Amino acid sequence: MKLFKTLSVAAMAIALVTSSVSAVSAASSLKGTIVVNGSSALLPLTLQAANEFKKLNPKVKISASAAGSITGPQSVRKGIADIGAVDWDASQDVPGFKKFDGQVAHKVAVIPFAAVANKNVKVDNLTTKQLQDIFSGKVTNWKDVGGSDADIIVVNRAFGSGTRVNFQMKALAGSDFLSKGNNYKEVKSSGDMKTAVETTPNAIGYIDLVYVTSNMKALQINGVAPSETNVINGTYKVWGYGYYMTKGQPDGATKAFIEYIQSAKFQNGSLKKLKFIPISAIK
Amino acid sequence: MLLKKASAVSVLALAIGVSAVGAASAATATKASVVQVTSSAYIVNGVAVNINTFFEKGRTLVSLRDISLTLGAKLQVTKEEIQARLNGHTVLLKNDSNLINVDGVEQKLNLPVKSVKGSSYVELKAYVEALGAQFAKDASGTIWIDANLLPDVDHIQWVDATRFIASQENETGRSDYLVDAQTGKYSKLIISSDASELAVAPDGKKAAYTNANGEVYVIEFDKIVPTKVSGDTSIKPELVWSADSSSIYFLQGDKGSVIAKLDPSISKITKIVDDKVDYKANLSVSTDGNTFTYTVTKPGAVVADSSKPVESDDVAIDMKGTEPQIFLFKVDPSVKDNKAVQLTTSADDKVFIHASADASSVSFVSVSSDDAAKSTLVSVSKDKTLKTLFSDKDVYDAVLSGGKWYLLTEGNGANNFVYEIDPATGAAKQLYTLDETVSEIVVQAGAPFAVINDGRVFLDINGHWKPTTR
Repeated sequence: MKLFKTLSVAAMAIALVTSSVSAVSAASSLKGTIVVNGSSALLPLTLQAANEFKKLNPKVKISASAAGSITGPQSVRKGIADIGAVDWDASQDVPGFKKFDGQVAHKVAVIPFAAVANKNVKVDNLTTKQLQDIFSGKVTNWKDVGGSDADIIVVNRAFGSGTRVNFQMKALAGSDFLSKGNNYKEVKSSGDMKTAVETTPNAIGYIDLVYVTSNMKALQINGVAPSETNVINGTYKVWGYGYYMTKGQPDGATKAFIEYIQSAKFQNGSLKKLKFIPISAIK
Repeated sequence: MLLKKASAVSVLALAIGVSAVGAASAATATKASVVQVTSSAYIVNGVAVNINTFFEKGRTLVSLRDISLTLGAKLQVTKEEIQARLNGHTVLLKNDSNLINVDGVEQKLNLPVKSVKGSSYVELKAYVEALGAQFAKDASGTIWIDANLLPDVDHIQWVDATRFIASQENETGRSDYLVDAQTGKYSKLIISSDASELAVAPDGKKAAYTNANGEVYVIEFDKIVPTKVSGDTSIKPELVWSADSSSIYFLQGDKGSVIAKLDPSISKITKIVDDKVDYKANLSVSTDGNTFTYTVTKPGAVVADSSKPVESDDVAIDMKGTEPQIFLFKVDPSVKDNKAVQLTTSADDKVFIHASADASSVSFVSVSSDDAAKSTLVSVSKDKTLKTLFSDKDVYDAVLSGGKWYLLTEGNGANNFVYEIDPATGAAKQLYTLDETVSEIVVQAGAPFAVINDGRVFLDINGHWKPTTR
């Protein structure tokens, strides 16, 4: 009741004694609009961070969209986005994509990826060589990798997908994908991949670990199961960083937003809640 | 100077009609041989006390025994020296010497320890800080001395009228403590590397959180051992307690598409809304548990032709209509294909969103895309009628508590104001003028008004801002 006793007075003017002159004033001093575009895997993370950041900086407006990783750095280069969300470091050359000159990569999350198969597949583990052979079309039957006598249906993400770039770099050690055939299927999103692998007998594909469901089988790679623990302890290699790309070094609201998503509060709280791995977890 | 300050405090106390504890007010004076000892008022560990004091060369010296024992320090006195111990710190002093030893390191006082009528007197601030305790003087001159305030607090939330949870964030996770508002005493609640923000139940007895697997835990404050109440591993971006503190409602999925209810007593989850609409947030549940309000944020539309060379940057983004909108869903089994109702369509940004207890209206701070425009407090009723509740000052922070809104707003130049708004009448009352470095207000009906200033928590205790963390 103390509060209301005090508040019964019309106005109370009490200045707080501040011990530091360097203190940042109310966060509301930040203003501006931030446009984020790119990776669909990072979109939930961006919108969650935006929701929290706006409570600290209500004058900052954040709009986000997603249409695949490559559109992130493209949008930044074109000047229609302040941040390009991308599942690889777009300031470096990667299989299929040249680096984006002048862009700066900011790590925001660790994203594990898993090779997944339809639940009817009897194989639990594949080596890097076996994965290379399957995804290049050299091996076409599950029996050649220890499974049943059945054609392998390869499900691949379309060109421009960050998941595809990471899987090619980390699981296939850079080797090429097949790109056509009766037993080859290409999908445009993680959601389509999930549906395709869950519903297509003898299918194999790959997906962000967070999207693995009980209706599919996550395969071990070189005898190591895909898990957050195995990523952190260094035994599971198929993971990548999620990045925010900016044109040069960011400033103002964009800089503050990137710092927020990289902060210990967000990384250990909401980022883990959304089943990403904090960047500090990787030593 | 001191008397002048004390007088000023008395005037303030009278003006605001509360019994403020005057700082260092001269109560009684004892004639000493060389100095005049007075009994002066301080607030030590949250309690008002009088301690024998005298003033010399502009500095305050206090009875070493009185301040030590009041703080909770242990004293050992020999002919040669005085040893004081508090919270792992050891201070050695000698009468008539201005050298003291603090945890093995020699330090110099401005004035020597002085013996008056057989009692040792020591410089107050230097001695308190040598013991590792906190010394603070507020603008009214009140001196607050605390043996052990919680350091480096990032944010707080009230549990009830007397306790709050203070959270410290660090590289490895978060530590939550229960803090007594009056004394600043704290106890560990959770130290976790992956616990979500705590959702405190309305009964003030427990809080819920999820871990990185999505499992739900409830911690009862008097037991301090969390209980797993759901092993469901789906992502749960937001948890909200029912008004009777018996159920936990939550958004489900990485896109927060589903609204579900968890009965923690039997670990049963029931879906309430599963309309495939993504990116719900700011979930609120009416007291009767039948009406849900939330925002929906639509991602922008992107057109990109992947058949074109990457270098052509053939990408177009349309962010029209991506501002959050407020929706209301009322559970009604008699309605076929029951759907949520969209209450707002405006292009403003909406923050600090809270529904009334009966969900008859939802209020929010409306932020215009025009940077120069003031942010205003707006309410939308369930029939979609918009009403501006406050537009006099630019709003920085807004909290709904006990049916009233509390706003941190721009002030007049280098300060901020706090207003109380009655949403029923629209009446606005200015409560405080605060330093412009105040970044957040934390309000709960019945509890002291709390502000975060420069990373420290201050509470309005009887008209004085008590530092409650350091």
